[in-house]
Amino acid sequence: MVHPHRSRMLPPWSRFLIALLSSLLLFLEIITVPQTVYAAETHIPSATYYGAAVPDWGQVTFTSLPELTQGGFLQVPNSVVGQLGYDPSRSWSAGAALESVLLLGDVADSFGLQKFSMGAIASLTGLNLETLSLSNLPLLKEQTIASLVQAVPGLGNLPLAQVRPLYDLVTSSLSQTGREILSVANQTLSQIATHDILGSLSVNQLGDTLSQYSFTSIPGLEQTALGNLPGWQHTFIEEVPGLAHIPFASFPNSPVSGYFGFIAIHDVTYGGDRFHKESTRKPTQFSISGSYQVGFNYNCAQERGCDYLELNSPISLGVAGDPSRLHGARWIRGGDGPGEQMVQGGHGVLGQLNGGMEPTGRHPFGEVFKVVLTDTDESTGTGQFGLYFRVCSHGIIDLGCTPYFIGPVPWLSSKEKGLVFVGLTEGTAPHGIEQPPIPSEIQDQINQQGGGTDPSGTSGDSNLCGDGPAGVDWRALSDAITSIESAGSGVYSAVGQVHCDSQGCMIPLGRYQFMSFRNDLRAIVAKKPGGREFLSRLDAGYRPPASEMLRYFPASDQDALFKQAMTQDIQYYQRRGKQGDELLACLGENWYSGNCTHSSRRDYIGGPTVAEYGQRTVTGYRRSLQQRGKSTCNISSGQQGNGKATGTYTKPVTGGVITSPYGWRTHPITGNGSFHSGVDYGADRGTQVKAADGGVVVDVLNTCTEGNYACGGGYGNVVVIDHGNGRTTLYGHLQTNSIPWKKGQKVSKGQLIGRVGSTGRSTGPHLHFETSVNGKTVDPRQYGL
Amino acid sequence: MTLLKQLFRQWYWIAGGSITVLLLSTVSGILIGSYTPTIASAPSLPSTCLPQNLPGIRNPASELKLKQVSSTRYQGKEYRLYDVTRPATPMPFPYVVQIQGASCKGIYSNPMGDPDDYFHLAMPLPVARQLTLGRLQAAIQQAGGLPAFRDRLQRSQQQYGGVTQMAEEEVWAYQQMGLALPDNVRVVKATTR
Repeated sequence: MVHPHRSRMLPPWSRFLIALLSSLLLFLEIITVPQTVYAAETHIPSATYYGAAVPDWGQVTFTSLPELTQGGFLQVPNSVVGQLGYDPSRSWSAGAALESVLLLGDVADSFGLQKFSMGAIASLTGLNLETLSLSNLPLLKEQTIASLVQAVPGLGNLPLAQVRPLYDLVTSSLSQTGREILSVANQTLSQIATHDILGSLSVNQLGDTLSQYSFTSIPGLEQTALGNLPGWQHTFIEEVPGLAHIPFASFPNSPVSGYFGFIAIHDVTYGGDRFHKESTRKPTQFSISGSYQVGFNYNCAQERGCDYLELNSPISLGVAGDPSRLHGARWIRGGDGPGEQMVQGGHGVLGQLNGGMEPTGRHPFGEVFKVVLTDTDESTGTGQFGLYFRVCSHGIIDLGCTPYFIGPVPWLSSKEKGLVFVGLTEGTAPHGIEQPPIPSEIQDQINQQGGGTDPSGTSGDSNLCGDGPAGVDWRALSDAITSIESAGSGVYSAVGQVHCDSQGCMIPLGRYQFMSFRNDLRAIVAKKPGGREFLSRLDAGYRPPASEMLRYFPASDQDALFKQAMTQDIQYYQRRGKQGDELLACLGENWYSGNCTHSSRRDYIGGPTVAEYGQRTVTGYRRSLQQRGKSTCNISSGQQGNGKATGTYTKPVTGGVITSPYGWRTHPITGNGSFHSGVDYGADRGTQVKAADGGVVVDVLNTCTEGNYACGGGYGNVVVIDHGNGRTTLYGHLQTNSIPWKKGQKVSKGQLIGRVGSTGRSTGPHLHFETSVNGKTVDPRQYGL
Repeated sequence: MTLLKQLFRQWYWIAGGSITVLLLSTVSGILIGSYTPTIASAPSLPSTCLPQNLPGIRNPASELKLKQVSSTRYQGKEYRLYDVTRPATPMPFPYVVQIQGASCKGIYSNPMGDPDDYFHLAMPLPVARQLTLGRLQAAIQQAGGLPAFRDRLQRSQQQYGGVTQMAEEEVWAYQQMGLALPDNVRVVKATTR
């Protein structure tokens, strides 16, 4: 008899299987992997910042950006082309990729892409240089043997025979005699470069055979910065293999090192199909859009009307006020169509192009590009934003920048009651209500942006240890400049070389090498008996003996003029929020080039770049203080930071280039594997290192000296900061005694924590930076670094 | 038969399966989590000779594991190369100590994983050569002998190739073992640094 219950039971094997599957489901871990958000309305990789969509700089690349939706052109007059040294004129169609429109020269100051070498690009993108040929980089076709020897480190020391492409180039141009070929083969490339004919041989003469040479067939080329190769300015970004695939966050001048500013609520939409005509006669109010030229409260009144988004502030306190000044603010649509506004833009000679006009908009991410409201739709309650770019030229002759007119590249969008990142706001409050104090975390962001006055002085190394304006020590500043200018001689009797052009002659004089054409110098000299005649002789090309020069321009006058000139510059840059080492760097750059641009251009052949001059000024200043026993002023003895972590990381070294990325590496010859636990940022010794986020200092070592390759376990001088939630960051190889903090002290995001050095196991100045979660290192690139 | 017994007889298979899976996952976790290669016993070092001030390491003697790779003597001093393993890092790092009489100190340490070890930075070239040679010999042994290592080297060069640089002590060590390197290797000499 069959048991009635057994007849309903499952076979034993199936019951076991059910048990197995059920248990697996019970114990299955659902692993969530953070995903980059590609929301349907964002067009670009984005993250969220306090609820608002913001670009994820660690994922945004040129190739990830949409194509330009409008065509355009840039026509540069011949007179400007002559001054530029190259013709940046171009045209493009709607649908063109941005990297096919922008030249390296356009974004030289903003992104600094010319600082990349192909080796660095390969490290960041996985590009295999072995499979790349010389013809894949069109810039190389413009090079001559002489320009390559000058640009590529160490190339000149190699015999011609060791560099196959150049050997073939030379031998193919020689008459076919064995002795000729043999004699040049043994010469070094430096010797070949000085030959009138051979040195000017162009790589382009190799023709189609150029594609047969691997990129690595010219030793040292992969380590050569693109900016070292003449003609780099007019190379399109797409013409550099791999460059368009690098995240913006990895650029030498990253567009932003964080998100600074306010979030607004997209309250109401005006415009679109039934465009808003209220402002055909009466100007809008409370605009927060405009340009650098007209400001960002530029209202709109025009015949074709003005479309806009009306905003509100999530931290508005109603009648008590709105610290962000966004309640009722209006972001006006930009462009030259119905409902769109154009405003003045650009500056300098290039500012005249495009009629000197650009779409109204804002710069929540800095001056690299402009964010413009390109479309509004009342029926759907949506706004669409786009990016515009510009062309700048800050070469030997500063031609300024065009208006922002290259665009639009579709960007983020917003819906009513959604959040929009607007950046920092300026101008008066919309409703004239007395403003309550700004919350401390907002004030911190403003201070880090460099636009506010922070009474606690916690941003950067602000202590200059002097009695002059902004706390400048005149002796240290004087020592810093003269250590560069007079090649270290620093003597008041120094007389430089005469230089004459069509407008006359000029000569640098004295300790600070003031040029004889300076009006302030001439005013001093002319007051002295015989001074005018002396000046006339200088103008004619006369090079005076030191004794005569000192009679008309003595040491006391030289120092006074230096102080006078520098005081004006200090006040100028102070008004623009510069202090401490930043101020010193700007003073140096301005002394050298007339501006503070952190540019990579050189004021004269063989001279330092503008940025290098600024850094040398800082280094020389600190060295002078130290030599005079003011070492306690060398480091910030300022107040602790707030210790608050924001959850996002900022780049710890401004302008630092990643020279070695995170992760596994295989040696190309031995096949040995290694694991790099962080990223290396190349930077000059003494460059400021800043906290990537706020937190508490949990580890400090400050006493390692260079040359001890085991100090700090190999890390050298190091700071480790705990940001909470299991996250820590580590900063290694710092300069001796450059860390102003002790264990347990709090630091704010962006606060100075030390200076780039080469302590521990290090072969040159750089920052080794690690990010960890729960004790394990992770790739800093996931934080956009 | 009571209802409880009936239920038990129906569901004991399911319970048994669940317990099986639970035990399997627990045991495998224990095994995988705790598996580490056997560390050969090394001549003990005083704690003062271990890597000092390594970030995140409070007690080097208990948190670090050292495995001696090679050693040499030069001008009255002994030099030893260790592979050092620390918690939560995937690869050991090289660490060199110099011992003279009762004194001992670390002279080279690369926990960051910088890909090229230039031992000659921190010690006389003959020492750098011998320690590198010892490390290479250990790697050859681990690969299963010289022919197997040579094959791996050739495969690596074919796959990656390219101009690269190597410390002169490493080039010397490869030459000592009769291992060919490409002609276009750039040798980084001790005198150039």
